Amino acid sequence: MNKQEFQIQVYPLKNKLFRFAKRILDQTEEAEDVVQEVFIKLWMRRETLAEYRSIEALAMITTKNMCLDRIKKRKYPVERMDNHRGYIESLPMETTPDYSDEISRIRLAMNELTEQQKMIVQLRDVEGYEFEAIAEILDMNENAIRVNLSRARKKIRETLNNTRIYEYQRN
Amino acid sequence: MNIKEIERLIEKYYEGETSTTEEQILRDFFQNNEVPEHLREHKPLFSYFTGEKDVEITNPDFDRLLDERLDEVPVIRSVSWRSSIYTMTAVAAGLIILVAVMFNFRQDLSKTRTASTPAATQSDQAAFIEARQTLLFVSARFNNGINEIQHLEVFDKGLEQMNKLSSFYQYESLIINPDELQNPSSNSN
Repeated sequence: MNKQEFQIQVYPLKNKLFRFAKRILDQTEEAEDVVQEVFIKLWMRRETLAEYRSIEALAMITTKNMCLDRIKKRKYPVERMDNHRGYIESLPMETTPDYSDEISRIRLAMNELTEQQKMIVQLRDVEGYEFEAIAEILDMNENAIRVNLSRARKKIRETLNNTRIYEYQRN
Repeated sequence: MNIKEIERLIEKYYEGETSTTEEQILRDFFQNNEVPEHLREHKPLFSYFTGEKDVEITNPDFDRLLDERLDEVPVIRSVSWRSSIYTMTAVAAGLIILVAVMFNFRQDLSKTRTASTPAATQSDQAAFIEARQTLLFVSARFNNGINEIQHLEVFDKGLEQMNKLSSFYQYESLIINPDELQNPSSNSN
């Protein structure tokens, strides 16, 4: 596969990969870095790309793994004053608390989800993937995906209702 | 799509039981219609997902940077794992054959120390040549892009060493049987 073919087949995926990375990392620049790294990795493996059923699935899986690795590296072990091992997250959340706007509230609610739930919601509700595709990307079975999807959606609804009440009380 | 249908779909939605088509119906409904009061709480969620689909990389240099980095990647033909296994198997097989033949050869030599005839050397060389051909056959079957000359070199070395060995044992036999020097038999050369 030469560079032109690669650009035609793989470049169109860039925004989808970016959205996925940004959902996991909640950082714009880092998400862009990850997408670059994923493309380079795919480029280095271009001879074997034809063996894959779906380059898109491969790209998404690679993105997922890279993001999860980065999240792991964010947590530094730290000796606290009381001698209990603690962990600090070194990066500030890009999404800052802002209850004024409905959309901001949803963004916050999404950040409350577990990593797995974030990924499932992103793949289903934003990108519209079928369960089969999500199962391949996340290496989960379809039932588990459905259950987690339901939990995630209910959790968002609940968070929205709570912050809405809070907002009413403030006013 | 009437309101009752929408309500039913919303129920299914929170249970994770809607299809992708039904989910699109819900998103469209909340995007395009006057939403009744009792359903208004759901609108932000579906609007949010509709909006998120449009998120893109805003960095104008992204494509150019990526292009540059792709050019930097060296053109290494990555050897796939499978062909490495074939290569290793072929080399291992070759080494085993080499060791077996040499082992045999040494055994023959130690049995017939004083009778290292040109004829004996010839037949061992023949055996060696045959072993070499076997290896070539094996490696030709298994290998795609590996330089076969590498294997030939191993065997040529073996052949060389064998020739050296045979002359060594001849001299050794002379040392062990000094009488041979004085009364050379027709066997040694």
